[in-house]
Amino acid sequence: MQDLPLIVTYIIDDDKLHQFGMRRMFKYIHTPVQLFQFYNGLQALEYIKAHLPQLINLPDVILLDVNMPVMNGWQFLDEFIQLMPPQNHRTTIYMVTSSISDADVEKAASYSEITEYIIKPADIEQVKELFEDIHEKLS
Amino acid sequence: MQTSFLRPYVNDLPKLQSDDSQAARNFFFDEIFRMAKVGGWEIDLVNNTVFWSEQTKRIHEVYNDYKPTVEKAINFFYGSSRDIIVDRYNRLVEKGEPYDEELEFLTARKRKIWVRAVAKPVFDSAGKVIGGRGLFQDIDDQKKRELALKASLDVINKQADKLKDFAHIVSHNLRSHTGNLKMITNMIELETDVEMKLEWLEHIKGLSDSLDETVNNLRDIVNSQVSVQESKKQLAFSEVFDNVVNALGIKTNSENIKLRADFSECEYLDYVPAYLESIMLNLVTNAIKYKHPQRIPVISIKTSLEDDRTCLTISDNGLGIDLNIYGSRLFKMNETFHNNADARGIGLYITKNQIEKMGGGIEVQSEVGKGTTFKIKF
Repeated sequence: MQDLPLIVTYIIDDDKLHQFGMRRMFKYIHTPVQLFQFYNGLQALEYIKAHLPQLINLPDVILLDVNMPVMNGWQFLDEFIQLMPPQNHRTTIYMVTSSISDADVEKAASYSEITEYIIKPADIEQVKELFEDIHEKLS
Repeated sequence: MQTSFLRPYVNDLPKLQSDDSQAARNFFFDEIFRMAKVGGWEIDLVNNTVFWSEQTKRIHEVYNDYKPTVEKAINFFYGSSRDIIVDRYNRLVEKGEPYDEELEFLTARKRKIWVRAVAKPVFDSAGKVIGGRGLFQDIDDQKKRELALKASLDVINKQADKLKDFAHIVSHNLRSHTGNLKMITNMIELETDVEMKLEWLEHIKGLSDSLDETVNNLRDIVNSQVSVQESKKQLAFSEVFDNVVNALGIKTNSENIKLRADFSECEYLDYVPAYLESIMLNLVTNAIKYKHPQRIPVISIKTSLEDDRTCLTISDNGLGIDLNIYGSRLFKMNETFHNNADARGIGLYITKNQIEKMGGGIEVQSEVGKGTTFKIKF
C-alpha cells in the first residue's frame, strides 16, 4: 500500500458537512490521498490557474458538486476543460451531487470528461471502489 | 337560356306547388331551421347567382330583400377567419373540395358571433364544378361555452404544471438534507472512535436547523402562490413603497443609504396588494444586500408608462452581476451568486413567479461593479 502514489483529490462542494464526511471517509479507505477542499467552482479554478505553470497539485481526481454559489459545477467543468487539455494531465471527474433531476443526469452523460454521476451520499464502499479504479488507472 | 340548378322555391314556390301540404311542410322546415339557427345557401357559377335562405339572412342580420354576392358574403368574416373562408371557397370552386369550418363572423349589425359554414360542391355530368351549396349556422352559444371550458382547462393544466414543479422543488430541496442525514448515520457506524461518533451526533443539530430553514423557505413559496386568491385593488405606489421602507426599518435618506422614489409618471396600479409589496420588498432588499462595499448604496425606484403598460424600474449602484454567466439562472430557485451567507436563493424566484402570474414580465440589466437595474412591466 505504501508505494502507491499520492492521489491529488479535489472536493468542490459548498456543503461543509459533505466535505467533512468525505475527509473522514478517506481515513477509513487507507488511500494515500492529498486532499484539497474548495467551496465553489471559482475557488478551485483560481487554485488550478495559479499552479498550472509549475504543474503542481493538479487534480488526479475531482469530486464535483452541481449546485454551488458563485460558480456551479457545470460552469467549472466548462472552464476546466478549456484549461487542461487531457493529453497533459489525466483527471478523473466524478459528479457528486444530490440532484436527481433528469436534466443534470443527461447533461452529465453528454460530457465524456465525467466518469460517473454519483448521487449523494456516497458510501464508503462506493468511495473505496472509485479509488481502486483510479489506482489501476494511475499505475 | 341555361336552367339553374337552384331550388325551385327560389323562383316562386307557391305558384309551382300550390298544394297546401307542401306549404305546411315548408312552414315546418322553416320553423325547425329557425330553432336550429341553421340557414342554407347556394351558388350557381354558371349563371353567377347566389341564393341565401331566409334563415341565412337572419343570421347575417340583413333584410329579406338583401341581394347577396360571393364577395359580400366573404366580407362578413373577419380576421383570420376571412383568410380561411377565402381559401376554402377558392378550393371549393376550383377543385370541388367540400368544407366544414367554425369561423368568426361580424353581422350587419356589427355583432361578433361564431358561425359554422359547411359547403359541398355541385358538379355537372362532366365532373366540372358548376356551383356549391351548404349550410350556415349560428353556433355562438355553443362555441363560447366551448372556449370558456377550454380556457378553464388551460388554467387547470397550468396549475397542475405548477404543482408538479413544486413537488419537484420540494423533493429536490429535501434531498440534500436526507442525503446528509444518511451520511451522518453511515459515519456514526463507520467511525471507530467514540469521540468522532459524538461529533457526528452533534452535526444532526446543524442538519435539523438547515432542514427547518428549507421548510420555512418552502412555506414562503407556498404562501406566495396562495395569496393569488386575494383580489386586485387600486394601489398607490407611494403607499406601498412607504410600507416597504417601514418593513425594512430604513430611512430613505441617511448617511448609509440613499433611496430615491419617483412615482409621478404613474401613481397608481390595480394589483394584488401582497404581491406588489412583496415584489418591491424583494428588489429593494436585494439592492441593499448586494451593495458595493466601497459605496453608499443609491437605489432609485420609479414608475413609467410604456405602450399603455405600467412599468417599475429599480436601479442600484451595487455589486452588479455578470449576466453572461448567471443570466439564465438568475430567476431560478436555490441559485445564489455572491458569497453571501444569508442568500437563500428564493427571492427572485418568487418575485418572477408573482409578476408572471399577473401577466407581467421582469427584465434585468447589470454591469459588474457598477450596478443592477430591474424593470417590471405589469
